[in-house]
Amino acid sequence: MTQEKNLLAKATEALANTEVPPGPPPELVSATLAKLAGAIDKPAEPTIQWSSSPRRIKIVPDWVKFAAAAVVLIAAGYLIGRLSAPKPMDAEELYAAVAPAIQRDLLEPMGRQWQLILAGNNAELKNQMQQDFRQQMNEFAVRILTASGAVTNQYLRELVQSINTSQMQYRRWLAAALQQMESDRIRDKAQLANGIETLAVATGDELQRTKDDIAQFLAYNQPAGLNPNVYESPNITSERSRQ
Amino acid sequence: MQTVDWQVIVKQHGPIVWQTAYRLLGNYADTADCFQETFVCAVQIWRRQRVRNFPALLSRLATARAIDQLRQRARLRRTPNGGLRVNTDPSDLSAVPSSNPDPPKELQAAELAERLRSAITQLPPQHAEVFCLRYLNGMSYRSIANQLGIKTSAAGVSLHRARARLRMLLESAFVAEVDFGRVGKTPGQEESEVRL
Repeated sequence: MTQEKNLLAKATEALANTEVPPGPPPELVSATLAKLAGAIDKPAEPTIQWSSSPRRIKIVPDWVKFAAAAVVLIAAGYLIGRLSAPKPMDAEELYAAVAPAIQRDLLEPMGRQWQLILAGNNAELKNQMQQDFRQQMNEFAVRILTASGAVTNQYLRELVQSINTSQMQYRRWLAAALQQMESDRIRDKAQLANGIETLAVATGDELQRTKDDIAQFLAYNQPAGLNPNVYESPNITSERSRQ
Repeated sequence: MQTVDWQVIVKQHGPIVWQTAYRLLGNYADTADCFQETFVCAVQIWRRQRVRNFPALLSRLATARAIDQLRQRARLRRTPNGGLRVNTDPSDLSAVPSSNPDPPKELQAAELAERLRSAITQLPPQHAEVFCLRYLNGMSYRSIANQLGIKTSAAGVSLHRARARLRMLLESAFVAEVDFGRVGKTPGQEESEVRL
């Protein structure tokens, strides 16, 4: 690349530094001036004078011209008709002139007609309003009753639920009391049985001791000086001991 | 019409036209034709419109005419075997006194200049004009754009493309010449050149 650049630079330098003989020679200058004199005296060659854009050539077809002429004629006719037409009346003036008579002619009959219509429809309107009022009141009562029934049912359900709860509680208490009474009864019965047995045992011991005492008493030898109980027979004593 | 003394114009700006044309064409006959055509064309333009900058106009016209003649010459020069032909007309060479004491270097410069002339003929006209006006006449971008009726940015773009195209053309010519030289030489000759 450097070689190419150097080559171009050298070639350019060589061409630029080419030895040029001094000139132009006088004969060449004279010949040139003569030729220039002929060229200056020679009339100028006609040149095409372009109007605005030298490269644009306008070729307009005929039908375009006719169409343009038709458009121009139509536009001119429209303008002439528009300008020659009578001037339209002013709307405000017309309104000011007509409005009072119209108001006078229209408002009074309309007022009377409205009064008649309202008088004829007064009773009907009243009945209609009463029916509407009743209907609305009925609907209101139905709504109230429905709402109150729902609230009453709710209260009743709550009351029944509370009663059931109280009964259940009462039954539980009653069962507990019965169970307590049964357990007390069993315990008292057992204590009573134990007491009776204890009494029986004690009575048996006491009777045995009494028996022994009696037997010891019977076996006791009465001193001589002592008389036996005449009132007691041996049979009676045996009977008592048997008892 | 603008009043112009053409004798003054020719004498005052003739050297610029002459140098511009001769630098591109490289011989007397073509330069003389280009000189006359440039001024005739300037007169035609002067008759059509007002000219504000005669040096720039004449430089552009001379460049354009010279490039046209270069193209014609390139078309005539296209021989069946092709190739580049350096201007070795003895009359033209003797007409220009050389200031370079090194003949090989002078020949190389002449060859490069001729190759660049040939490459310029292959550029689009506008690119070629912009390149020549910029690098051979030293005109600014704005002057070039004013003379060619284009924007300054367009002038820059044209110049860039012209340079890129010229680089490619010079490189291709250089490569073709190297290949041609290798084909024409024997391996022994190549070795001897490398040793030298």
